Amino acid sequence: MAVSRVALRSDGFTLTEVMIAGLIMTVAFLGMTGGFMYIARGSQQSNTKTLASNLAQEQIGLLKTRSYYRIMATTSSASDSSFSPNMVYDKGYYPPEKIQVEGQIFERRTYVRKVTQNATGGMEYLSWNSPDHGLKEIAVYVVWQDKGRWRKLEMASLEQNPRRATMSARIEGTARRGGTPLANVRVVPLEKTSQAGLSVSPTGKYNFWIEPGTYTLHASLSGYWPQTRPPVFAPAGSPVTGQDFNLAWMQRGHISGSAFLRDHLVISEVCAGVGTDDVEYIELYNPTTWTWRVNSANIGLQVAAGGSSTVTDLTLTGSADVDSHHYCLIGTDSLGAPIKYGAIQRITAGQGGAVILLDKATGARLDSVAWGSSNSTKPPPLGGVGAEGSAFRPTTMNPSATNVGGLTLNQSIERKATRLSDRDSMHGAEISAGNAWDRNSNNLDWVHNDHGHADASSHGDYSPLQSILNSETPLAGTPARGAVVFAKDGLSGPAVANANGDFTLTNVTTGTWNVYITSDSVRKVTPSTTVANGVITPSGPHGLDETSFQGYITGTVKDFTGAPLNGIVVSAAGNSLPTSADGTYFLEAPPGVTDVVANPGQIDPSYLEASINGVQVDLGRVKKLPDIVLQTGGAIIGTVVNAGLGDPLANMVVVASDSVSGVEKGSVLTQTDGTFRIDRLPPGTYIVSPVLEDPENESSTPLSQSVPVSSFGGPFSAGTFTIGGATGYIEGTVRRNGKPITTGVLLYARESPIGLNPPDMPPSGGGPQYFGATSDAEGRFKIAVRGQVSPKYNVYAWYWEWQGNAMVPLPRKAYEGGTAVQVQPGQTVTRNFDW
Amino acid sequence: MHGAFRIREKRGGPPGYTLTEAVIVVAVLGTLLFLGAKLSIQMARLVNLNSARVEIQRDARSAMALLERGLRQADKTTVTISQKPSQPPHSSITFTRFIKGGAATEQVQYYQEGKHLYMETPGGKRVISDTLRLLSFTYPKSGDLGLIAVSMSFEKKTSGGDTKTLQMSVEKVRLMN
Repeated sequence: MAVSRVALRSDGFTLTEVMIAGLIMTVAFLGMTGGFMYIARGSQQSNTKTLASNLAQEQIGLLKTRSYYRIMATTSSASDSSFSPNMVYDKGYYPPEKIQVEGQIFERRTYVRKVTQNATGGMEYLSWNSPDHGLKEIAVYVVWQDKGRWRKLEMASLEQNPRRATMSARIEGTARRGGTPLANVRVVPLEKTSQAGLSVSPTGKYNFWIEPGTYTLHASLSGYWPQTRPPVFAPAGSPVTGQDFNLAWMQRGHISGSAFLRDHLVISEVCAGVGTDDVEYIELYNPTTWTWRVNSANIGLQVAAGGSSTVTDLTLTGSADVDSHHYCLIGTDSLGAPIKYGAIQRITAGQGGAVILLDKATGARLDSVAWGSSNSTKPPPLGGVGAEGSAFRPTTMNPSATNVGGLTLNQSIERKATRLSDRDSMHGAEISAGNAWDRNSNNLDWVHNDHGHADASSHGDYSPLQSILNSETPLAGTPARGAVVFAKDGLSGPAVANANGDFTLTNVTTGTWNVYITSDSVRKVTPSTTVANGVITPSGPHGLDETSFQGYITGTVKDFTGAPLNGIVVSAAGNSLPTSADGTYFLEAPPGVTDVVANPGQIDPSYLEASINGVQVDLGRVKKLPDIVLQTGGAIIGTVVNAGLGDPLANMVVVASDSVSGVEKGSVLTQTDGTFRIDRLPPGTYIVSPVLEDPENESSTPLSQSVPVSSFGGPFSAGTFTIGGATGYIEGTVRRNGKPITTGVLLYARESPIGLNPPDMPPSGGGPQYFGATSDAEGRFKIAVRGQVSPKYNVYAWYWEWQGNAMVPLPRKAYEGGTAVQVQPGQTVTRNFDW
Repeated sequence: MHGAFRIREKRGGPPGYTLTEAVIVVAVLGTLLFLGAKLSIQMARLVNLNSARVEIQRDARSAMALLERGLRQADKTTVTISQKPSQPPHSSITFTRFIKGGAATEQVQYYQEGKHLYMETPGGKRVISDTLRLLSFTYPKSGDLGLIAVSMSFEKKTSGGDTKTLQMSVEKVRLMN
């Protein structure tokens, strides 16, 4: 029935039909609305994403404009579990910021991590307190809420340190002598000598950090043979161990000898009479290496009698060429010598007397001798005439029962062959030695032949060597007093010959060396002398008969207490030698002006370099310089950290300047652990300060530190410098009748007062700078200023209100004078402005 | 269960509506009309507001983009921030910018005059926006001439006259030259 009723109806819809139609239309409408909303939301989301991406890029761009070291690795992080995995971000250095763009609220988060490249080229994150490997990752997240769900946009960028080579390799080893650990061995990579390790007591271990690379290690310690290891590759990360050294002690011996100058003819014997007073002679000896022509033109002879000061010239006849090491006899005619001076005796027997030998060309006295009794009975000539040093006055010339005194007949005085010669040795062991000992003191140089024999036999009291036929090798000469003796063994220092010409070169490294003996324009380089451990090797006697082409520089290196310093390298004109145990050095240098530098380049890090400039070096001369005093290198240590959690700041430049002159005396970069050490500072007071990269935006607490450095002890601490942002903030609200001003209020802060209206910008005429801001749409403002304790900031606000269609300036509001605002670095101060 | 037409037929009376019915219908229609009108007014207002918002957002964005572009080309040593007479402080900026090719320069000024934001070049001046409420230029630090903060707010009254929409944007622009 119901069917027929439906079929019959033609005048309307049933309620059911209407409801169904309504339902369908509602569903269709809802569907369409949903579709539209979906499209709208899609476009909105895309727009939001673009905005978020811009915000992220902006932050990365901002951070990348900072220098590498100012991009702070996150030390204090927050974690957000709204995301999976949890989002970790910085809440310390770069706290999250809420940003409203086109009605959408975003939060921007930053996360900075230290990273390193591992062996396979992948990236590994490092904790913030691990050493910096020169890479940081900046991650920026922009998050927002969309329909109750959190969305994020993530962007990351790597920042590489442009300058720093990372000290990520480490070299370790032990220094020993034999099996015994050896301290104070300095191990230096030859490729990078600024890094070095010093072995420590008692283990002998050393280690140091260095950039990854291949290095040749060189170990040295004074008194030991230096040693070099084959190159070793030091990779980043894992230390290279076992770089051990076994140093050999330099064995030493000594060289002892004597050095003489043989540069002139000497009077070698004088006889007042043989049998009769008329037969007398003067014997000359040529110890030099060249020939002297003896005749009246070249040689002058003078005599003086005891008790008188009258000097008589002898007239020489004859001529003789006296070769090296030969004798020449000059006497009265009856003697029959090659050179004669007449028939009359000139040297009176039984008296004191003197003979003087002159070089006629120059008028210089070559030699002389005066004699007489040791008491005053038979005195030498008066007034010291003819005496060289002290006259020769042996007691055997005193009158006695058998002796009239003075130089009697059939006796002679004879020049010694060596320092220790006596009357008997001259006729014994030294019978064939040249009579050349000449200490320039007659009293020390002569013997009195008073045996009482009148023959020319081996023990004869007079035995003139006839003329130029006889040759005897000199064993002595004029002692080369002050001659400098050295060997280039690198260990021994120079020795100086004493008044007798004797020297001992001590602590010469075992081996074969040439010994250099030099005195003024002459020198001798001895043939190779072999030095054995603990043995004194004799050397010489040496006549200094070579011409010198160099000058010499000598002196002593001492520390500030006056103690001589051993093993300090001294260099001049390209030559370098270490000082000997007594602190002396001896250097050859070409004639001219040169600089002498002790401890060049601070090879010994315990001392500073010192130099004497403009040293005049003369050919063959030894220039004795004043003592060079080396100051102990005082060291200043300290740490630089970042404000906040104390993250160490690497590669900050720290400078020490002289507190008086302000001159920079040393600067270093901080290490990866933030520490620094400024070495080798002379005693004094230093102003130590970190160099800020951007003094406008960062500050150091303290700004600088005054550190006194003395020569004793140390290192001296400059404490910790904390580098923080220099920026402080003045923030607050701007309100009109209690309601936030949403259209913007212009604000300025300045140390000095500002006139009624802000001046045109940029300001002219200098003065403190202006810090400006405009309040935002919510009536808040934030002025970034340079934080400081004083002076305070005056803060001003200008607001123009729209009243109808006109803009009306409201009175300026200010915090100035007594209400000025103090803003310290990192501090935020609130000040509100109400109209 | 039954439609209205059937009820009327059942009663057997003459076709037509009772007074009550008519009154009810009128009341219902009146209510609907009233509600509908109110709704449509509100909707219209919303649309107006929205379009105004979009308009000034567009204004703000394009003005800011224009200013930014101009400022980025500026030679920062030539920048002067001042104001036109009787205008809020620091509502004008003048600078020389490099124009295409690099060598040639021209002086540009952006400034507020009342509700108008003008850009003035040697070629003449043009209005960038006439819905400006406030324009201000500040150096966050007068020691750093490379950074300028630009703040502008725009306002447009909607047709009703009693509602306003406001857009304010603050951007910092780094001067590259």
